[in-house]
Amino acid sequence: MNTWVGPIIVLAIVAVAVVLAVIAINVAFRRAGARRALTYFFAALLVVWTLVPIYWLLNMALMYKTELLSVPTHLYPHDLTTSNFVRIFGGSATGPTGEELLPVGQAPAIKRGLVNSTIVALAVTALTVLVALPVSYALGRLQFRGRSGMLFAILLSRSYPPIAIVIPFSYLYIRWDLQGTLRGLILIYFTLTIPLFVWVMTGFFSSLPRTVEAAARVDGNTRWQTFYRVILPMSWPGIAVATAISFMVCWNEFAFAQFLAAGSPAQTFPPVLPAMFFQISMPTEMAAASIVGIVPPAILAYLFQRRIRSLNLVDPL
Amino acid sequence: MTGSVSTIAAAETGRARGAAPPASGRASIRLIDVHKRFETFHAVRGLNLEIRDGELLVLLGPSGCGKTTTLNMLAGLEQPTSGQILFGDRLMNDVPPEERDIAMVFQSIALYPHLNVRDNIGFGLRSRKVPKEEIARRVEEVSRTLDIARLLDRKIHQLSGGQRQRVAIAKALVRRPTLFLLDEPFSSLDAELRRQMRGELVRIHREVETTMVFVTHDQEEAMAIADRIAVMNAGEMVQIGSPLDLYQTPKNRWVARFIGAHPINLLDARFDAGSGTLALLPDGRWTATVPPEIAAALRSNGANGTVSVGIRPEHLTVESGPPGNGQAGGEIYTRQILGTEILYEIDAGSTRLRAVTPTARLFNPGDPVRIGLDWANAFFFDPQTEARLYPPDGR
Ligand SMILES: Nc1ncnc2c1ncn2[C@@H]1O[C@H](COP(=O)(O)OP(=O)(O)O)[C@@H](O)[C@H]1O
Ligand SMILES: [Mg+2]
Repeated sequence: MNTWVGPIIVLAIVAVAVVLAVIAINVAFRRAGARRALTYFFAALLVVWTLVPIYWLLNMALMYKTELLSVPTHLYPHDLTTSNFVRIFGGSATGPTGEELLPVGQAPAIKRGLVNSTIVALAVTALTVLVALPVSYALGRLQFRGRSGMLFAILLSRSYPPIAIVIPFSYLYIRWDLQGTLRGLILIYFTLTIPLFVWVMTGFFSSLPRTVEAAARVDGNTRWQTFYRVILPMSWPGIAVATAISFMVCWNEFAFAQFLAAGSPAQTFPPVLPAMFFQISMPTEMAAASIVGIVPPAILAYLFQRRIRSLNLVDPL
Repeated sequence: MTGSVSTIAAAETGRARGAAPPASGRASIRLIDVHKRFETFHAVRGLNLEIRDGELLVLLGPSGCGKTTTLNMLAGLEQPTSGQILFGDRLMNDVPPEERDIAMVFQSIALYPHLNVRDNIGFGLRSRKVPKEEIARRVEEVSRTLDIARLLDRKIHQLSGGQRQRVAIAKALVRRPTLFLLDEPFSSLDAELRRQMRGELVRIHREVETTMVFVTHDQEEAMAIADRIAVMNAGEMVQIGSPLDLYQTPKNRWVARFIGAHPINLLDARFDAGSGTLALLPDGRWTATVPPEIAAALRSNGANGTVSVGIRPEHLTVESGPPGNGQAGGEIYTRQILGTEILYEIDAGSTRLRAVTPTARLFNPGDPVRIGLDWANAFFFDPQTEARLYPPDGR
């Protein structure tokens, strides 16, 4: 009986989504014809697709585990609680019947993971901007021998999954004393963020009108002054987006973190979740931890949403 | 040209202090055998040109003839492949744009999209460390001149094409440089505003007495504003002279065709050196005995047989009645009333002629007319080299 509940809920939600979409189509058809209607339909689908899992996580995270186990499953917490959040950060709480709920065993790992993730993501992002910004400017604005070769190499470096190279790196890291260190993680994350950043920003720079730069030179600026007085201010949308993406990549990175730092003092946040899974742990607590992990990228995405929308990504090749 | 080096030095220290460059004692700009080759394309081919101090020189030529490339080399945005560019006695080939004290209006209206109009206009002054109050004052002043004062707080994307162009012009004028470069600055203005801006530019030029190089492909615009016009074609300079020089003594057939509000009539005539008669149209429809001095000039140039004759539409006469001596008969094909004058297209046998006459005489399509010419206003060109045979230079 219990095993049917999940699929039924999913089906119900899909049904609701379809009904919503059909309504949207009807409204839109009457308003603006087939193209708008299709747009609405897929937009609705996308929203449902994205929000339902998050809603479900939140639903679980705000329940006591006793409520989670009830049949039929509650679509919203009847007995709302923040105890899961308190407990994953090492606090105790009181249960629905007055009993004491102890801190989650992984609480120290969660706290340290969040701190480590923040350090790594901030450090990598900052250094990435510093290194990759001039590189992408050169690639985007100057003509020189080997330019398209470099761009191709950068694209190539994003074409294999990290897991494919993590084993040799693991050996190297043990040898170089980088295994289980923040330094080691920061170093390897550059291989993810710099190509990404360069790719995005090269396209952005090369799409800027060329004569504006010429105008700035004639207006009395050296090449360098032109870069920071004109090109940089014109490029904030692109830079903001590339920076946010770099941060999120570091924040979410799992494969390198798992192999190069899991179980060490340098463990970041993502490997904590599977660790919880393999210990005796409840979905409510894992859901709370997942939500915490989602928050920073979500805030970033919200802050930069307008910029992301205004950005036309251009293929620099 | 003496003292030009110290002048530039003075201009540089002036710039460093943010002061306006000295208004007098500057020297001319010379381009000596300047070539520009892009990877596959030879855009400028051996340009020799002297731009006099304080003049308004127009670079005129059809699209793609190398005007913008020439301007870019003057600005330092492109380096000549060979040849020399001299400001006074100083070789400028490798001097970067920011060290040249030039203001430029770009063909593509290069404004800074992240700044509002006020900051766009003031940008060049701020880059050169002019004091804030002075920037504000000068921006106000120039924006009143160009009638964009109420746009000062707008962003660039909120402006129409014509407004952008005026902002770009204001941005250059506010600078008071030693050289203005204007690349088709009025191209996106409507006809009325363009006429107005021409007048305004000439007035400003007289006021600031700064050398201006103005690029256009529009001969009418060139004629209207230039002190001198340098006509370019396919990367070469064809002729340089005052607007009237170019109109009255075009160096060759190409210039004659390019200059003039109405396209010139070009006739493949036959000249009989022996008798001094000229058959202007085939089939003997229009033959005339040329005046002795023209016949002499043609003979001394070895012309016998085909010669190219150019007559501007405004120099043909159109009258009613049968053709007299030295005239041709024709029939009005179309008529365009242009206001003070009328443009006729006239069929004379298989040849169609254009004539512009005062409004007083009005013919209708189909009317038979007689066409005459005034020898004083006829051009004779070598049909092979296109060079002008008559009238001689300096008429
Ligand atoms: N960067 C470049 N690379 C190759 N060809 C160019 C470049 N810039 C201009 N050209 C070519 O040089 C010629 C002259 O260009 P330009 O000076 O812009 O002409 P204009 O301004 O007289 O219309 C054109 O045929 C143009 O295609
Ligand atoms: Mg041009």
